[in-house]
Amino acid sequence: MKINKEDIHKLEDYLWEIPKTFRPKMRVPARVLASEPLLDAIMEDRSLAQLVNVASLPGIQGASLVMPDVHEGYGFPIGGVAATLHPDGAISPGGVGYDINCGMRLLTSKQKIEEIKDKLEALSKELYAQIPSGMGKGGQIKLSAQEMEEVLLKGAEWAVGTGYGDKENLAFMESKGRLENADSSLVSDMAKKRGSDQLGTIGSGNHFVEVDYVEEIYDETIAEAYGLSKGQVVVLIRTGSRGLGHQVATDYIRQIMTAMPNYGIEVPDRELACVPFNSEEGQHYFKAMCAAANYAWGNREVISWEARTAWRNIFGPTA
Amino acid sequence: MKIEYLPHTADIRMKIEGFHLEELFRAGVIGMSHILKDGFCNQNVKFDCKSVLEITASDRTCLLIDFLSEVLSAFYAEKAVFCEVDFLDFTDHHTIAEIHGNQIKGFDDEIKAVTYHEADVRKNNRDQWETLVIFDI
Repeated sequence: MKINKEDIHKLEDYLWEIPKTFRPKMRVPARVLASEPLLDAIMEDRSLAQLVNVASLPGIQGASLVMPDVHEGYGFPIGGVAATLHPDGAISPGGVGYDINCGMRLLTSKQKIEEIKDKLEALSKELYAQIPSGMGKGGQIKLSAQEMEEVLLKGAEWAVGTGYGDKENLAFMESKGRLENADSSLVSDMAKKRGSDQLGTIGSGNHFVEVDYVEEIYDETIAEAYGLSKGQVVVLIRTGSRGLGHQVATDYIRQIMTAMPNYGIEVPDRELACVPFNSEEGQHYFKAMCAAANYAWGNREVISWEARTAWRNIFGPTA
Repeated sequence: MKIEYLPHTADIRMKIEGFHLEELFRAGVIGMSHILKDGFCNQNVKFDCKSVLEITASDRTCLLIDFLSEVLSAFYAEKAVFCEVDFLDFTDHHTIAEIHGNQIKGFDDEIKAVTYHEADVRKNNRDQWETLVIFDI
């Protein structure tokens, strides 16, 4: 599918639209939030063709959207947003992605960069020692079958309840670190096996734990609300549901691809496979996905505990 | 059998070829093994680990991707690298395969998933089966 600049209408300085008349199967327009130079860069890969495909999903509302960080993904463009009508609009595992609840967490410290500069190497080594990273590695925690059930149902609450975090942390998490619709029985044994020793591990690829500092404040009010100040050292964590989530996505993309014809749904890309949200397959995926999301919150909470342990080992118990 | 790694912005794009479909599937397994543990399958070691997989799919392309997904799961579940495949049954829609390999302590890299993106199992103009396989890493 070739999309030319003349197919894209400028709505505002930073909002562009491919109208739903562009292709017969589009149900809504496709919209891009970007400056013009950024839009030109975005057009270099197939992100916008993927965005147009998303606009054809059953039950999609308003528009298919992409954020300024858009790039080509699998079926859906990365940075894409789509809302479908409840209860029978589409649910698609490809839209959620292979790394369910991949997300970020920022830990603030009391230290300024100038105060800790000479200890950065020691800190880096201690973080490596405390937090297993990469290569399908297992961590310090080996979950029993019962513990796995609890992680999948309780998410970050499990970590807090078992001493890997503080209750006050939950208030700072999306959905307080737990989705209530989780059903662990809908997560395959293979997914549970892959996740049994990966809680508290980062993984590889674009996952990381990094030590940063606040170089510049652009909005004092927002910075104050987040407890951030110039020169302050912070720890940024990015990871998700690890092998457990990857397996849930793989399992359900396959199942939903098989079930899709039963609902008369055809999609232009296999990775867009979807079923109605209120179908049996849709509900099974939704509840398994919620369980994997809970695992991810548990994972980030345990990693936060590991990072704090590393921090205290270097800067002392009250740091 | 031919395995090639092509440029990709963020992930891994692999092109595989085989004289027959079974060889194409084997190339997929070997190519995936190279990513997870570079050079491991070139060593002449006695295999100490095996797993039997059964896959049913709507077409050849889905069969390959679903097969490689199952092999990937076996890599992580068994903490092993698989290098050899014996097909006990093989049609365009169904296969039973025995995969052989060795348990290892750690992988060089991590693959999140084998995607259907750009995959298209077909014969090329040299009468060989070929496809691209994109790994989300």
